[in-house]
Amino acid sequence: MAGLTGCTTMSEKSPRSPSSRSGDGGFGPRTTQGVRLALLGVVLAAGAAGVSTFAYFQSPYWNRVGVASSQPIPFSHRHHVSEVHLDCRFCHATAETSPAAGMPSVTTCLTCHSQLFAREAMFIPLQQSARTRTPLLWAKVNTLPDHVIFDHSIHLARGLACAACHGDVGSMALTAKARALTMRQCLDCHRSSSPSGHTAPGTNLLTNCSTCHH
Amino acid sequence: MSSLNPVHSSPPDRAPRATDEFAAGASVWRDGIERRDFLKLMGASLLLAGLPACTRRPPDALVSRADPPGADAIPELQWYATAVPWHGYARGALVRIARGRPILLEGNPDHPESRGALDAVSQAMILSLYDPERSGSPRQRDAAADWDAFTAAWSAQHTAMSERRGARLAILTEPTTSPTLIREIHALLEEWPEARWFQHSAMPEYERNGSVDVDLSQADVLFTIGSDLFYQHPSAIRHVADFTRRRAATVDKHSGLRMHALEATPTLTGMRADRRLAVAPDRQAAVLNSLTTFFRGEPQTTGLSSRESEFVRRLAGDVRKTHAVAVCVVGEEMPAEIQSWANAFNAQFGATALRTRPILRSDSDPACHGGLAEFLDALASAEVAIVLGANPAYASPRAAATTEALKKVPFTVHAGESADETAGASIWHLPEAHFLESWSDLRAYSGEATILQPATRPLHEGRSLAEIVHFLRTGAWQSAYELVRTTWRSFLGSAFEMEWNRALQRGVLAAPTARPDSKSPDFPWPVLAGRAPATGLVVLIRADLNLHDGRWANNAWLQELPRPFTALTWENAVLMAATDARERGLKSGDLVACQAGDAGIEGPVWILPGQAPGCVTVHLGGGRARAGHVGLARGFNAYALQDPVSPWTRAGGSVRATGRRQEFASTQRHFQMEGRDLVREIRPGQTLRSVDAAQPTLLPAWPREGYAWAMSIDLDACFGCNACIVACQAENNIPVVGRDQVIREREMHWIRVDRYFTGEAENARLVHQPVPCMQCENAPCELVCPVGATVHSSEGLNDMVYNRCVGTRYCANNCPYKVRRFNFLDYRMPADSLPYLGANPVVSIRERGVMEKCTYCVQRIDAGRSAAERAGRRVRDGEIQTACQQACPVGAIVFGDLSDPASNVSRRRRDPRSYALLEELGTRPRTTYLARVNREPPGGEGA
Repeated sequence: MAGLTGCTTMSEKSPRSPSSRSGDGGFGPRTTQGVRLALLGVVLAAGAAGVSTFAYFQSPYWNRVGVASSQPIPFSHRHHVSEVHLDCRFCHATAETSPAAGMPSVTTCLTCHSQLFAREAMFIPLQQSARTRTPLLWAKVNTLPDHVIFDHSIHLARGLACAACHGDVGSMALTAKARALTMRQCLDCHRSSSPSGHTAPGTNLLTNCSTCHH
Repeated sequence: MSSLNPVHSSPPDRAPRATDEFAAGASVWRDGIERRDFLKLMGASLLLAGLPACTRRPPDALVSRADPPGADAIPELQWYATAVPWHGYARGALVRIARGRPILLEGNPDHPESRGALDAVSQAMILSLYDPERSGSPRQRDAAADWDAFTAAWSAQHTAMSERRGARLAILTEPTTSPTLIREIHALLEEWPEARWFQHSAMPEYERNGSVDVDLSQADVLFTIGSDLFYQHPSAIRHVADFTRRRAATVDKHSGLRMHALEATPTLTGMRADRRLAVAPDRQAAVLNSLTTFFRGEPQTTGLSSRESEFVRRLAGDVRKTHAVAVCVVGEEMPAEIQSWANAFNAQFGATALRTRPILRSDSDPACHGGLAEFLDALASAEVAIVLGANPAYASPRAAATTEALKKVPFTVHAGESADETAGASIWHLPEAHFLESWSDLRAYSGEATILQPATRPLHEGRSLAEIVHFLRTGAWQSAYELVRTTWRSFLGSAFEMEWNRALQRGVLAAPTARPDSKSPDFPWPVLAGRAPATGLVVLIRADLNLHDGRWANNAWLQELPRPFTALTWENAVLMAATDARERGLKSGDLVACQAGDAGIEGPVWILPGQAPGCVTVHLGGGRARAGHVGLARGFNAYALQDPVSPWTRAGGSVRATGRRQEFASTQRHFQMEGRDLVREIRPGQTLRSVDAAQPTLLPAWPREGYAWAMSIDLDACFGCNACIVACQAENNIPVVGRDQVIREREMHWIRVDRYFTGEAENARLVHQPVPCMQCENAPCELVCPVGATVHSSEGLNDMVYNRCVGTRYCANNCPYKVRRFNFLDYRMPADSLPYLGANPVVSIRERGVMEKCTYCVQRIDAGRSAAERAGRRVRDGEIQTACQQACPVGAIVFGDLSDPASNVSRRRRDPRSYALLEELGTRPRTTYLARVNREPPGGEGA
């Protein structure tokens, strides 16, 4: 608003009017003040926009932290992990040997669910999948951008627990992302576990760009 | 240390640019829309593009497989042993399967004709698997049909055919070694004795020399006459590997295996010779006759030029050294009388280096009724004609006659991987399965068999040729798996299942015992009839080094792979000696009408050092009339010049300027070293300054903790076969950019092979220099990147971070080695396209506006390091191989850890031949070279 007022003032004063020759370069003190305030406002607004955009994209909201996706079957990690005490690797079988942790085949589910709760309506997609031999499509909960190359096996081999990234899935009735999985979170770990504990590029294998991007 | 004197090769069609990184106008957008308009549009679309970003990304899907039990996840990486068909012969290979899809072909170390390496063309077959234009379903009169329709159509024919015992049935195949296919063809001929079987191949007759095979590991002198033994030969990899091993053992001596080459047009083999004589075909008889006089003890060099007599004297001197074992290898394109001269040569000097091999390709099968000419005769009275795999309507000197004859036959069937020219002349076209999606079997040139196992489920409805022949005979379909097992049940004996599984695992089955040819042991020296000096030019017709007889025309990797001598892509040219061109006032790029007899073609001239005066060379494979959009009408069709009687040489040719010009899509236009020691050549025993001492620097030394990756490239081994380029392309998802983009110098290969001609123009020798990223320790590119997109890793790699790159191209401008490649356009393949399935899943696919370059295959380093860490040890030397190293048939490339003084690469770096490219710049490259060795005794023409 201040800027607008300043403009109006400026246009009202024609260059030939006596006050414009009064030694302060052509603009009155009110005008100058207004323009200064306007400029400050623009800078502050831009800064605020930048900070809030950054914060927004780092926020749990944008990153779907704690938001459970809708799944074809309302699968409960709480039940399977905390109550039935299944090992993670029973279903995610290749986590220790391969970059991808792996999803269980429908056959794995049917190990139990061909008998247990088999008549429940929520298992219809499972039975359909087994019968028609079409894969079951689950909504992905944790996802990384395409330019990030991640390997489950080496993280497990280095002693990282599943929960370090995936959170306490044993307490989740419906599975949701526990951490935003931003690059900062990767680096927090990669930097702290480095021998030098320092961020100087080129001295630590774990902070090499090509460790994750190639 | 001596640098080489470069020879002007074909003058580039633009003035050589020694200073600019990018071609003039390289960054200009030329796709029908002006840059300004584009920016306006971009501005608008940027605003719109911002909007969708305000919503969160929909989650991707995770897939739970419905079956199978016991295999919950597709293994990340698998290897299967198989073989790549090379004109009917097997070339042992391992196919790498990532997440269920074949992505890479590598050599099978257990296979005697592969030894862990694979040539460029064989590697590129992985792209053909995913070719969207590969034939997918049967076609009837060029309209979509299906197998049921063909089955029905054939069953009507089948009854009649059985009644007349195969009369008026003509079958044309390519020569093959496949025991199953041969068994099925024989079964058909037995059941229908009146049927006629013919064979046609547009490639040279590789079986011409019968059961005689040379063993270069036993030879002291190798003399090649127009032969491309090291590249265009069924056992090329074995020969060049043997040759290189012999040469490497004597790298610091003048002794060791010596090589002489007599040829008219350059071959990769001839260019490796210590002495090479380029003479036109009509002079070769005179040279060889003179050699005969030397061997008979009454030397005569009358009628020879000084160059020719010098060559004869030197060769005769080497051959007649005491106890020297000398072998002579003659190109399959040469006249038969030269082969008989070579037989006499080998009988006298080379007996201990000759081996017998079993003759297993069906060329001289007694059940076969002849070649294409006889097939065409048979078509006149045939009612059913069946062409399996071959494409005689394009790939033959009788293409037009074949088309005519086929169209007159009432029922014609063509089976092949693409709906090609012959398919166009036939009523039915049946899709042949790619070798990676079907069961089959093949034998190597030396006789070892391989059972080819499918690496993927069929992408289309293709069926193997053996299945089709079986169906033609019986009228019922049987799976290729059953057919192949039936064949091998009789070979493998009692413990069949065990032997079968072992055969599949190893990929090699022993060769049957060879019987020597029943030729008389006495080979008299023939006196070769010197041809009268030809009037006009001799036209030499050769199979293309990338496209062979044209069958790979739709393979974009092979189209864009620079030809070894010209660096030409996407087209062929009329190769000509500089003196001939000067006489006719021709320059490179002039379109000429090349005439021989009543046939002629029109093509651009390329002036090639090393080409003998008096002859021009044209390559087959261009000018396809029916191919996919990659291969359609690229270059000219040189079959038009072929004479059915002597397909490889045609005298009485002429070349006439048309007044028009053509721009070449060549990847190397600058053949000068500008006075710098880019390729170094030393005498045996000479020493270069140590690499590390030669590069003083004020900057602190790079800390070498942990691994320090480095590479060494032996220029004395490299013979320019381009295998590294294709291996890199497959491993690193490198896009093909197309002819227009190559002309604008936007090709994307991460490793290039630079070529420099040296010596005198007519007898020029060619030196090759593969140039990947040097991974400099003091990298000039890193200093100028404003966004830190190229940074150094702790292991000495010069990392390129695609997601940080904003495309300033400063790094490419500051790179003295010019190894950085920029994505000027969006070259990504769509995620729903077939080629995307063949992409390496652990390498990012780069988008538009991003710089990229060789990474030393950092994904392989990561995988190797992770595997070692999981096992709690250090990476062993040689455990991690880069893609280019893996593919190299001569072991020119070595990669490893410099911090381990015992590693192969450390030892090479201490070698007296080791040097760094442009070491005076102080970039301290991690990639270094071993100088070439000139073994020619001092005083010779040599350097």
